[in-house]
Amino acid sequence: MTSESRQRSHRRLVVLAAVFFAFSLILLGRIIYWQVVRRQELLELAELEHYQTKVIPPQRGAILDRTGSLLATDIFKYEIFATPRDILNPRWTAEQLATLLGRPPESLWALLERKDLSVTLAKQIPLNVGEKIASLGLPGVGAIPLPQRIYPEKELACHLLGFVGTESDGFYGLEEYYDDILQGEPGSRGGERDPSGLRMIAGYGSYVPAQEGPTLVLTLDRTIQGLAEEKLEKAIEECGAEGGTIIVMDPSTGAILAMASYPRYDPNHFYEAPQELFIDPAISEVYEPGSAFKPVTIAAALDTGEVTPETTYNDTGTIIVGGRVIANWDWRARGETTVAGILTYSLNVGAATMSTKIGAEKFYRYVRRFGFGEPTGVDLAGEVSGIVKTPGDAQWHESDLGTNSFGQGIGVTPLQLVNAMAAIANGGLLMRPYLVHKIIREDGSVTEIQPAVRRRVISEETAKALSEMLEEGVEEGVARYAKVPGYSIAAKTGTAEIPIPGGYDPTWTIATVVGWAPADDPRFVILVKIDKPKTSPWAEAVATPVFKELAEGLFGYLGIPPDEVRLARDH
Amino acid sequence: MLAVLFILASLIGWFYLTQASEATTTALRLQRLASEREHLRRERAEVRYRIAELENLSRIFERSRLLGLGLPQKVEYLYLSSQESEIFLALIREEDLPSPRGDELWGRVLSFLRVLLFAQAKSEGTIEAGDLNTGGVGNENEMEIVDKR
Repeated sequence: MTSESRQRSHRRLVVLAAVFFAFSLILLGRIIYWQVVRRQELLELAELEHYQTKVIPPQRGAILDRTGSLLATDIFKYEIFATPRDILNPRWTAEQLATLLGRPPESLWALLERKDLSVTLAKQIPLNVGEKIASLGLPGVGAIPLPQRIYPEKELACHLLGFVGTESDGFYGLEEYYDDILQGEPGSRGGERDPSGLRMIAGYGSYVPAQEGPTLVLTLDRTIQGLAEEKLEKAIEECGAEGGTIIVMDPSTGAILAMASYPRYDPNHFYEAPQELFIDPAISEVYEPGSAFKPVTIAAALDTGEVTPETTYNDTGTIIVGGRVIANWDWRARGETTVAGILTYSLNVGAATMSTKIGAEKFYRYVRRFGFGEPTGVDLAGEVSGIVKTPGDAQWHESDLGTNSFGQGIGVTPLQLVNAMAAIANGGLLMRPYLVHKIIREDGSVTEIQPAVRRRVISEETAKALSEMLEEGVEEGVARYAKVPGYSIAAKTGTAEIPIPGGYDPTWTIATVVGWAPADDPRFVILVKIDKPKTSPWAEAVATPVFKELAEGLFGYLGIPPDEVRLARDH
Repeated sequence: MLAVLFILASLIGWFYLTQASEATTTALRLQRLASEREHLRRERAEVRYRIAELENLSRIFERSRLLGLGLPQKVEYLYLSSQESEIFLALIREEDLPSPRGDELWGRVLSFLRVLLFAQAKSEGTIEAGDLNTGGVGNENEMEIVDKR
């Protein structure tokens, strides 16, 4: 071999070595890339392939009324699916499933013959059927239990409960307000799988049980709620009204015993109901309360010390406030009238006289103290503040001081109104209305919600005086149809016009009555509101009889004896 | 030497297989228990719902109506004098008790006679309230309320 050919051979070797070296470098680079740079990602991919985790859906917490009756709970329904490529004999499989699912085998066979990766064969399958299918162990057929929200009482308390959507999220009412609590914690079951996807018993596995959401025990009483809904529905049908609301509260605690609104919907089939029915009118709809607001005005006048129940004024039938003429509902002048008479005969002129006497600053201070213009803090989703215009607001006019005194030009929710009246019944203490009394967790621990005093609104003496004045209104005034023989009742009616652009609706009214019983030892406060009644526009005619019937029912159900018996027993 | 090694290897093999088998059995049992737990959880929810359905308010009203039951039309509260109240309470309590001689009718007759004698003795002032073990009855002005539906 010549030196030239040796040199050439040497060069080739060098080139070859360089190529090898370069390839080695590339290889090393790739190894580093896969083993170091993308290590984590690949590990996760491998784990996904070998290790499968199934999420166990948690059971949403139940909702019970104060007697322990179930109002909402979760049950399980199965979803049946198939992976057609894993099915060895589609016809036989279809026949096996057909009997259990109650469907013709041909329709199932057609589904199983499809080329899709996975097909859903049936949804909403009852527990016993789903478990039977799962126990058959048909290759390529699976059954997943999925929780479903159920309301055994159907429409009862629908606005208050709300409902649960398809993604297990709560909407409206308690379901939305307590959604985070009710959800519970999902569990999981994991394990290593072989290449065919079957679980390896000897492999590594894990099991974390799902944690059930806590149970909510309400202050609501199912029987009172049922009674309120029955009376409301009957009244609305009889007077051809558009809708209505009834609230029953315990004034000493703020506990809501019933909260009914009409029209209702079945939360089990919420998707069939029009969306506007989901809104709870008791907390989300604002209306002008009319004369039912007068006790607030009189409370302010009495509490400031400007007047006493015996103070008189000259009722001329009209009064001008801020350039606007305010007249009594019957346009009559009553001459020398006491403050008590303002409530007994529901006199607009008297109310406006009181509000102008104490002045805007004090009047609106009391309106705010009673909780108007702010949410009551009830544990329900969707509560609104109402509308209270005060001096300084661009929309406020001097005449508002007069009209607001008898509940015109002011927007309140039924709950705000009943809560304000409950404060008078409760000796002047404004409570936070509430619905959830207890939260019971799966481990047995219990959180009890205590009644909360928001503030003192008026003195005890003022509250007592007002109570007596309102009682007089039931004995011989405009609220006389609310009277139940043998029982003392304090109540105030309100027939309110409905504001429309440019003025007030000439035809329709909203009839309200709100009051409590027994007047001297209140056990419950009731608000009845009827929207747009056809038979009569007056609260006395359409709302007061409902109040009376409901009060009678409550006296019996709560075991409240007539005053004579009660007072004799107490003494 | 070979025999010892063979026995040792066999022992290690046996130990390993036993452990592996035990682990597999336990894993299987755990899996079954977990499934059982989930199954019971679902069953419980179903049963709870079935009970609630049976206790449904409108169903109760409907069943009551079919049985001829209804809400009271009128509730009357009656005044009872102290003596009447004691007799009333005593009768209720005696009815709740099992018959002292195993003979129900005879037991009731005896109870009634006891109450009558007690009432007479009390009206004559020869016995004090509470002697009949009625849980302590009150003074003359005390009143019992009877819900007459």
